[in-house]
Amino acid sequence: MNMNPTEARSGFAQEVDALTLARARRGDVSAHAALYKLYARPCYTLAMRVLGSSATAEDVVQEVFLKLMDAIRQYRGDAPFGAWLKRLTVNAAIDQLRSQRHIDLEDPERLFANAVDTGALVAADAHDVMGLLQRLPPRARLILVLHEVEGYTHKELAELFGQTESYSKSILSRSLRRLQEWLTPNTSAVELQPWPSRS
Amino acid sequence: MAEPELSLQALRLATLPEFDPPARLWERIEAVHQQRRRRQRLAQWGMGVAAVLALATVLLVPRHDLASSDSRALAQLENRSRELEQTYADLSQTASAADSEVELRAVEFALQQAYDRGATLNELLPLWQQRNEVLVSLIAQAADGAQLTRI
Repeated sequence: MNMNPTEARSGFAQEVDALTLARARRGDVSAHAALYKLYARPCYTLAMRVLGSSATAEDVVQEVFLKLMDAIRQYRGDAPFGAWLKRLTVNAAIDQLRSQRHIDLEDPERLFANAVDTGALVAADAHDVMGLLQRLPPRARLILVLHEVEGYTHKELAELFGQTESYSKSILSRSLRRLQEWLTPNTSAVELQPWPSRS
Repeated sequence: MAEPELSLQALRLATLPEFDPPARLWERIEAVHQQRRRRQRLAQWGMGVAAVLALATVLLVPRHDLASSDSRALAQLENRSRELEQTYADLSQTASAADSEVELRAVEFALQQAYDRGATLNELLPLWQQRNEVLVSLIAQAADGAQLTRI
């Protein structure tokens, strides 16, 4: 597994040229390969962050690009191609979580009640961001990654999960507090900064 | 004062690692895609063959069935004709032949001509039907005559 720390925004924002898209729509395999080369990394990264397993993330990438090759004719260009592909990736990740029965619990209280509370982390663990994320319940991790990293608004999350906006707000808030607790053994050391809220 | 809002950045967790997929993943995806396309083509071919067979069934089998049905009807009429002929022959031994036999001969002549020119079942069926009706009529007349004789 190659891990390269980069900026928070994933590479779904990359643009693809119209010619490659047109060739991909016609079923040109080399155009499909070009799209894979451009977007495989952000797709795999998102799947890894949400699912935490390389094997499952590979399955997600496979499903996404197989779907892309079949459905790209239906892509009308209303939204940027990367955004369309990100949506495919998020849906595939959710399907994976559902197939593992990790996304059944909808009640935020029960969601976190079942999460293992291992107490505060030692200093070395605090640098393992992925390790911290994986300790969150899968649905909470998904909402956290989509909102904090991929820029989803609570309105978009509400549509994605078929819930109200306050639902994802509640889970996000609990997730961040849980992370804060794990990072601050005596609940005092974390330096909080104001952060613009996406409604 | 309101509590500052929590975020990954506030928790200094904003720098999440990125991950590179395995080098051979695209080859795997391409192979699965090719396999699926082959299956789709095979399924489409199968559906095409099934459609052709269904069309052939619709177009040909009913005609075959119809022909078989007509053949069976013709055979039934012929058998019935032979039975009536036998009945009439039995009765006509005790009763004189009626004028209606002329009509019977005319129908039989028409039937013979039809066979000679290779007529279709559609032409033969009404002729056999007509022959049977004439025979029934003759039998009825012969039966009446026999009764009169007995009286």
